[in-house]
Amino acid sequence: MTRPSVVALVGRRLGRSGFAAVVAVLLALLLIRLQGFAPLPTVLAGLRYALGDPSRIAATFAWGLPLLVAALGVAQGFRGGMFNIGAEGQVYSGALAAAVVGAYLGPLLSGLHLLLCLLAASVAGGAIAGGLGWLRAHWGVDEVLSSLLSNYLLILLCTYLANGPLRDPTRQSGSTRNVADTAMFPVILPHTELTAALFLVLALAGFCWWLAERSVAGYRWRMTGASPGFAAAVGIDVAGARISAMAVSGALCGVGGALLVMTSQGRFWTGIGTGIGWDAVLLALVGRARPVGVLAWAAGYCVLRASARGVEQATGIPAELSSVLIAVIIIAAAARNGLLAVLADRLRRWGGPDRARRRSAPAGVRR
Amino acid sequence: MTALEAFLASGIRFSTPILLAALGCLPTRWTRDLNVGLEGAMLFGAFFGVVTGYAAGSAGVAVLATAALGAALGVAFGALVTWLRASAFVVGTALNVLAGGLTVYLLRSWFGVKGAFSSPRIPALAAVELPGLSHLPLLGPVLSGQSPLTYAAWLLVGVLAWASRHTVLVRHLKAAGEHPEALRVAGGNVTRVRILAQAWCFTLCALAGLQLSLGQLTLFTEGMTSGLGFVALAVVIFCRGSAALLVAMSAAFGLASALSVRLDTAVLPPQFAQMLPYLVAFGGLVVLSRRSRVAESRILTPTLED
Amino acid sequence: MSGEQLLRLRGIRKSFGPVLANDSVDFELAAGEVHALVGENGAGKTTLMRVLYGLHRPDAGDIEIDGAPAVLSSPARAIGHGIGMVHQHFMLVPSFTVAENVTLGNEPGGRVLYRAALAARRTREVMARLELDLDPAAVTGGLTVATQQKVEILKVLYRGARILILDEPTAVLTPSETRELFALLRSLAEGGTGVVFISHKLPEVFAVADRVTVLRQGRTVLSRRTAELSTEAVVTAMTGRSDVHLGRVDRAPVADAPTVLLVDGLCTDPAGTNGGTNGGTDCGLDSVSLRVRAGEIVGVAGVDGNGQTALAESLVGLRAARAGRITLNGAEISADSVRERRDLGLGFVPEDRHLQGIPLHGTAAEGLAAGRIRRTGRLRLLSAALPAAVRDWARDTVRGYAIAVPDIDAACRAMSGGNQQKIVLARELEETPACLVLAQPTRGVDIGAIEYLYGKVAQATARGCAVLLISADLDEIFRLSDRVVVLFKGRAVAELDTRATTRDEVGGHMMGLAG
Repeated sequence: MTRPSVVALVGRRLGRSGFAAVVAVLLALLLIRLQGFAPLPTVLAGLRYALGDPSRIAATFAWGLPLLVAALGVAQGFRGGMFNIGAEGQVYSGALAAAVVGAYLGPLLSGLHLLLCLLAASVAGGAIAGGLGWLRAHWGVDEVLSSLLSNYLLILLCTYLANGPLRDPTRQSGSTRNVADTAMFPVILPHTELTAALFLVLALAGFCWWLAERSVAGYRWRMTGASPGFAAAVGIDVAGARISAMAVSGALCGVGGALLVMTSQGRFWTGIGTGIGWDAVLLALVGRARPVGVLAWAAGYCVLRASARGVEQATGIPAELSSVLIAVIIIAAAARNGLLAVLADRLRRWGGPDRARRRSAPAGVRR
Repeated sequence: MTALEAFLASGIRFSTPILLAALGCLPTRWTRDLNVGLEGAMLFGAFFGVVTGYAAGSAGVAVLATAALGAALGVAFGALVTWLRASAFVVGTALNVLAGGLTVYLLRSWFGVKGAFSSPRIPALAAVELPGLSHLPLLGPVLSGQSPLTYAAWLLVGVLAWASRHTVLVRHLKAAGEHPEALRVAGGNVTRVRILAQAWCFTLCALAGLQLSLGQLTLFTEGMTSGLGFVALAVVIFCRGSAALLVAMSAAFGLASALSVRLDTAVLPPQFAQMLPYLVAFGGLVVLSRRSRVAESRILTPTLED
Repeated sequence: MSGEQLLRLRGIRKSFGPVLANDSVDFELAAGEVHALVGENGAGKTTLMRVLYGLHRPDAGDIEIDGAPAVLSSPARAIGHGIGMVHQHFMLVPSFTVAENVTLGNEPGGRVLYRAALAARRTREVMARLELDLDPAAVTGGLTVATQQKVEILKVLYRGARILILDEPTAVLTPSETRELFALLRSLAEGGTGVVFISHKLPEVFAVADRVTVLRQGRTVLSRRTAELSTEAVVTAMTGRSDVHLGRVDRAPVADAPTVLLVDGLCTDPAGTNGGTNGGTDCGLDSVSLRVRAGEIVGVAGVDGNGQTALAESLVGLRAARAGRITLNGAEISADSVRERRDLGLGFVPEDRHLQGIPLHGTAAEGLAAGRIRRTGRLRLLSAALPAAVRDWARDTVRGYAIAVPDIDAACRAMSGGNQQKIVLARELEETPACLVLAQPTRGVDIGAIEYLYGKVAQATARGCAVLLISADLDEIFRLSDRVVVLFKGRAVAELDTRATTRDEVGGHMMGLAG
């Protein structure tokens, strides 16, 4: 086999995720070594923290449930050609809405209360994102910028509400009242943080897949997103599709925020987001907006996050290591195809010119 | 200094990071290579400026080192986006997350602090007094005594406006953005020109970040750029290539920021005051989108396909 | 004509992934010669010339210029060897002035400062050589297409080209502009320049070329002086078939039929064109009226940019008209959306296949089933878009229209132009439209597929479909339509029976000259 083919073959087998994983592991080892600790044992300690026993596994993935829903939401928007980068703000809004309904709408029938909280969150997120979508569809306001700016506006608004009218008087700083017990998801694995929300999230993931890949609505979104000229020419209501894609995206991000409140925090406070909205955007981008891809990358990210926490416990290396790693992984994944193409081209040219000359002059022909 | 003069002076000071970042972005607008990673570049600049200032004890060294870092980042980003054909949107978003994570990581690893880093050893950017100007009634105290980067920004506005009409490089930048095939076919080097634009962009954005951290208070706070990079992006996109509009929008944002700081908390809750600059940017975005329904507004077209 | 060999390409081989575009191609050019390179779409002509211009590196083969071997690794190197190319899609920056475009890449006055006055002077010097008179400070985007082409030629001559390559230059010109271009090429050839001109339009080839080289499926099939060849021989070489008929398409005559489409006083605003050969602007319509009866084909002729895009878009509903009425089978549709018009029986084959005709990033099934999905009710949004019944129908349609795809889930991007267009037409015809609007339906489609498409359109008219054919290709209009309406600057300036008029007469109207 010629050299370029070997590179191409290995590269293709490795795939984007494989290539990214290799880069991640190498970088992690390097950073840990730079901090002065033994790389391999440290990484193993981290992985043991994340996946060591069933309760650890449950904790690792329970953390990721809100993130996954938000990432699915951003991905739905992408599929419809709408880049909802306002996920962080919508997560905050959904969390606040759910916390308010959970706390102020007294104890109700458990299933009903959960439903109402989720509904409130999806309406909050959906209305905001839908509004941004309307601005894009009818006034041409680029939703990338408008959603980026909306993050800061919404977070400040929620902070004001949590510090002002909706503040829990028994606490010092910005936080709403605790929600009623009936508004919290029940824990399904004792002594872990894994709640019944797991079933909801898996159902949502399946629904998102059906919606995006198979349904009529999904067809309209996909055509509007990838081939808007075609969509308009065959009679699809492009403006309506854009607005509805954003609305669904925002609703899902809102539900992600609600899950933050309803599975672990029990209330809304000003630091609740911890950046999962930005992570959701990254995961949706690298998962190519396909529900399956997003699910896989979200799972991987959960493990990464938990491992980093484990590493911090063992060695004191800051857990922000995971943010650094995920960012580099994603840059590597984005550059992988180009890198392989450049390598293959270089190798071909290095081994090529002699072969080319030999091939072009058939036997017996004189220059 | 009267209250009005103080207000205007701080308005100018607040507008400098936006102005610098927007001026950096302008060549990438010409090459149609705008990217969302500005936030990350500014944050890196803010952090690196504080660190190098702390280590070297000199603001001048901090400025040079930060500019060099910005240029290196820009070349790396440019190579990723042109040569390796990575999606600019993905890399830019990842860069923002990387900046947020890496700055906190290093803050804790190197200095052992969380949240903010401040030290008397960090040098401040010395305010420059303009002789002759400081005597004028209103303009004097307002225009004089600003950071050197502010004056550099004003100078750059003129330089870019002149270069836009009279240099071959800018011709090539515009051709690379509007019709790269035409430039390529004419024998120009599209890749080199795009990378150059990114290097310029990241250098100025890094300096914009440095203005934030060393300009008035000498400290670094986690996430201290809080969306300024995106505001600069909005300014560049909607100035539609007009230098006058760019300066005007930066000034508007600066004044809104100054206002937000000065508003009495009794009048308005602090969060609403803080919202003011973003509302100004958002409002400007909406108004200018309605006025110009040109395909230009989709300049930031991200793409998911390879 | 000096006749020494300027250029020689030997054994050129170039593939893009699995596609072999050039397979051991030979090509020679003598000084002072006008040499036509002919072949169907996809035969490898453009690839060969892009190799010559340094835009692609050949996988194998040599290039000799003036007898010495040359490695053309980039356009800059090709320019250095005196090769200049006028591309099919103009390489002009729309917002630059004429002087800026002509001097791009080789600015007078050095590499740092741009001297506008000096550039203008140098541009005027080159214009004088060609006896052209343009304002160097005019903005290129505002010029007519024929003038922009002249700017492209100026650009090439400014760099001192001795070998001039033109890629499908006449696609955007009226008959008289074509004659002007050919006179220009002749005078350049007489001055010793070697001219290569790529075309698939044979009458022009025979009008201006000294030699013809025919490529088919990436290989050189024929290379001889035009004087020794006949049109049939060239067509046979291009297609490999001897039964291609280039005359009028056989159709049943149209008796007294009811009016299907009635357009009355349609006015629109100007806007950009979709695709086409160059992203230029299209002037809006100025009170256009026409009528198409059942079973009739009405052609709309005109140079790109004179209102054709506005006409197609406002008929279909993609653009709102400022004034005027559109009636389909008696029902007024002027205010209806695209969806409503399609539900009433209006079909549309758009001019930009890639942006509007097919979902470029989608599959064949998604492109075919758009009509059936459109008709799904509002309450069934969550139901499957492509259930088994629709997939079976798609498979039958692919077979029925002889669309060459491995299966219905094949990506549209990978299909040839002809197959893509078949998908568009299949989708539209399967809805049995009352009226079908065709915009540039055979642009970029090879002869075999063209014949097939014309046959299908003829069948549709036999069933009573009214067809409006908007085309910049006069041959196509004369082959297919019963009547022709000429658009000039947004107004319908003439309406003629195709059997009773000539190309020159229509061409005159296309230029705005009174009949």
